[in-house]
Amino acid sequence: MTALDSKLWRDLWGLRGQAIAIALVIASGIATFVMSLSTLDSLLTTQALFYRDYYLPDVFASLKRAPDSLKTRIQAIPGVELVETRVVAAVNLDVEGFTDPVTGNLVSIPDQGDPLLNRLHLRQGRLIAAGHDDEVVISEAFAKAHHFSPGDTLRATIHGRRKTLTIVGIALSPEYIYQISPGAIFPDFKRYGILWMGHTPLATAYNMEGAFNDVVLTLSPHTHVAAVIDRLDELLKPYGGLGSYGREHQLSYRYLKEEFHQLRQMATMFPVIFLGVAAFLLNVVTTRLVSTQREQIAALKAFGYGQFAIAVHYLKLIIVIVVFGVILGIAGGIWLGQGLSQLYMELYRFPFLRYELQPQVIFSAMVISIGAAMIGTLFAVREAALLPPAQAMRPEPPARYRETLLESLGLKRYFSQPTRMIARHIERKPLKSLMTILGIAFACAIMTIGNFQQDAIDFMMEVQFNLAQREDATVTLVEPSSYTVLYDLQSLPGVQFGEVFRSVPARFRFQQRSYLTAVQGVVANSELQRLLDTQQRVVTIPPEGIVLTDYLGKLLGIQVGQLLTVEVLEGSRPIRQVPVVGFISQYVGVSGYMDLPALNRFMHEGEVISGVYLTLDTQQTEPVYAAIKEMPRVAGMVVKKMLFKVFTIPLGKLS
Amino acid sequence: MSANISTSTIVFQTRQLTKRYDMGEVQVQALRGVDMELYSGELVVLLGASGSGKSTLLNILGGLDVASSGQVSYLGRDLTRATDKELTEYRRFYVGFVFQFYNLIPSLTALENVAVVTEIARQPMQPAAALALVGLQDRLDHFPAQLSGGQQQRVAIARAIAKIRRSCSVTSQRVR
Repeated sequence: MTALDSKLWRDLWGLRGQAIAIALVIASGIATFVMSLSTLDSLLTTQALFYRDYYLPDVFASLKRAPDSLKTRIQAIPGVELVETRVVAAVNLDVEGFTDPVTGNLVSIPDQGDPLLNRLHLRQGRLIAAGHDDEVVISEAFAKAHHFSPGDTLRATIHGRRKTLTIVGIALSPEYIYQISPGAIFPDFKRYGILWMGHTPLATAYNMEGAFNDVVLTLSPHTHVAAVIDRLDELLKPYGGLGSYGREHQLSYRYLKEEFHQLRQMATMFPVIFLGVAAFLLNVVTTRLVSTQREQIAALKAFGYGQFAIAVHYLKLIIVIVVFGVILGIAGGIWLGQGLSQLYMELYRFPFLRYELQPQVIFSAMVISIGAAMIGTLFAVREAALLPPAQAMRPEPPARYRETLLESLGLKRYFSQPTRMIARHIERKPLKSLMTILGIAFACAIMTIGNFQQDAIDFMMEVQFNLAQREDATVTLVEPSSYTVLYDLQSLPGVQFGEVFRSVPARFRFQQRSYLTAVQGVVANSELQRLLDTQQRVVTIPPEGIVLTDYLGKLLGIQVGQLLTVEVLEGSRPIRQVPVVGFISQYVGVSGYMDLPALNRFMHEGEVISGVYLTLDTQQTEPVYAAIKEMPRVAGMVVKKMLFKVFTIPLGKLS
Repeated sequence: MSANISTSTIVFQTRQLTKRYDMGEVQVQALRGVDMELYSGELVVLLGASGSGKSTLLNILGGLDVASSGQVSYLGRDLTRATDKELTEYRRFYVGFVFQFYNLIPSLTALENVAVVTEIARQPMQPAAALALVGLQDRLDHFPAQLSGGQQQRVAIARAIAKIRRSCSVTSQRVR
């Protein structure tokens, strides 16, 4: 080791407190960077492998009912490779010892063998056997939440009929990586599950013999997805098609994509802050070091060390700190990444997880940190390198100070001597002062981001669940029905108030943009479903026209007063233009709202409703839940309190 | 200035050497037209009141500073026109310094303080041998803080003589 390198290590030892602090800041930034990107890469690889090996379809469509014979016509659409028709039904479940309402989705699979698409990855037990019409395979998340194992039974109400189902297998499906009940904003594995049942028994129970109400397909490579969707919609139209969609609109796929987007953001935002702080700290330390070692630098120069050698000497010192930070950060990032990936695996139910750390992530981490450090210390190192030796040999001359702007304005007499010192010091090095302020700002930013996210979610929850949605439970019906359901529900002891709503699946079109969602029919002066503007003021829906959530308005690029084309995907499937009369601010959900009688008129139907919002007596919820489960026309029930509860549970404890 | 007239080679020669310092609002004239010749093997003592320009002249002769005008040459090489790189090389290979305040590097031992110089010099002495010459053979691993003022000065002398086995020029300054 050269004498100069010995000096380097001893200088570092002298600076060890500061060096470790800076290295830790760098390590934090790099750890977040490596954690986010390696988790992202791992999830992308795992997702791709899972989708490929278990045949996630390219196109999905639901419909009311079509004969099995339609399958050959779907198969004939150019570009279509594999077609699988299914029966999918909402189901109310009775889990022994669990009083809250539990709903599920029953999906048909072949009576024997694997499905063609959305293949199941069995975790326990087996697939269903032919001839046993009570057998089901259930999703792993649901099974874990209730500690189900093969051999256990559940009671289900399918299409108003009670049936006891025997669990024979526990499985994962690429279609339900993110398992969430329709209308919910967060998964609740205790109250929502996916069940796979043999096609024949499910079709029989659901009055779907020789027919199907759901179809999924894969396409050959380079097929134009939109063209297939158009053809498929055309074919399904007479059979109550609810609009086909590609992977990008599939719920689970969409959530994953959103999650990936957030990870990408995390990979940029946090490292920028941490590395910015590290660069600033390095700047302070190096500047101070160079200033205290002025005479040593001068001596070295006098002995014949050139500018380059001096610069390299100080850069080495910085690089040692940075490399230490980066190594620590990479190790921490890998550890955190594996933990985070594991957490995602739990949440998303991947059958396996391939943790992937790409060399370019490590390389980028190195380059970014060293780059940030170099930028931060450029001036100090340059100063050291260019220090004229003869000048450095003399003690540093007193720094030059001037009267500050405030003092020259005549305010000097109000300043005490220490205040003058402070003011002059700040004004003498404005850039340094600015950097200090920036550094503190970044530090505050780090603190704020964490708290802000929590507050934002709390605010969102408060607005959505206390100000807008004021019901205790939402009951959805199997089919649109008359108001008698409301009267039946209101007569239950424990129900305080009921308010009807209508929900109609529809595709909104404006110019070249379209969005598949639903029109919600809301009663005038609704008590339980209030629409709010950005100031949380109640918005009244006029008797004509449609109100959109502001997000949907932006998505479609439509303004108030313009005509929105609404293509209803239910009943007589009317297509009409409706003027947009306003926007509401809604943090959860994307839909259009109409006055209920106006929607009924639009649909050419009488006084028809899709469901009822209820407020309940908190002391009597259980008998209400039990009574509602028995009602044949009820498709499902969502209890708001449960949604709220799930939202506040940390992710790791969900399973 | 005293000069020992000799017939041997001229090592340093200055002609009308001036040096001005710009100290913000004030201009300090440190050297005014210095003409001198220094010969090989000569011992020269420079005396003067503080602020008379001794250090400035030595700094220019040692290649640490450049003149404002005039000419200075070392063994016929014009130092006034030398680039920064050439001056660095000049200092590395031909000049040894003993600074007024020694300028030892506090984080290096006596031996390492000498090695800092010998590591980049051509055919230097062994650092330990240089320290033995000044009687510090027992203090090789002592840090400057563990040495007395006189011992520190001797380390600085060892550092100056170690790089040049056949002493070409040693500029030294010590004013008390």
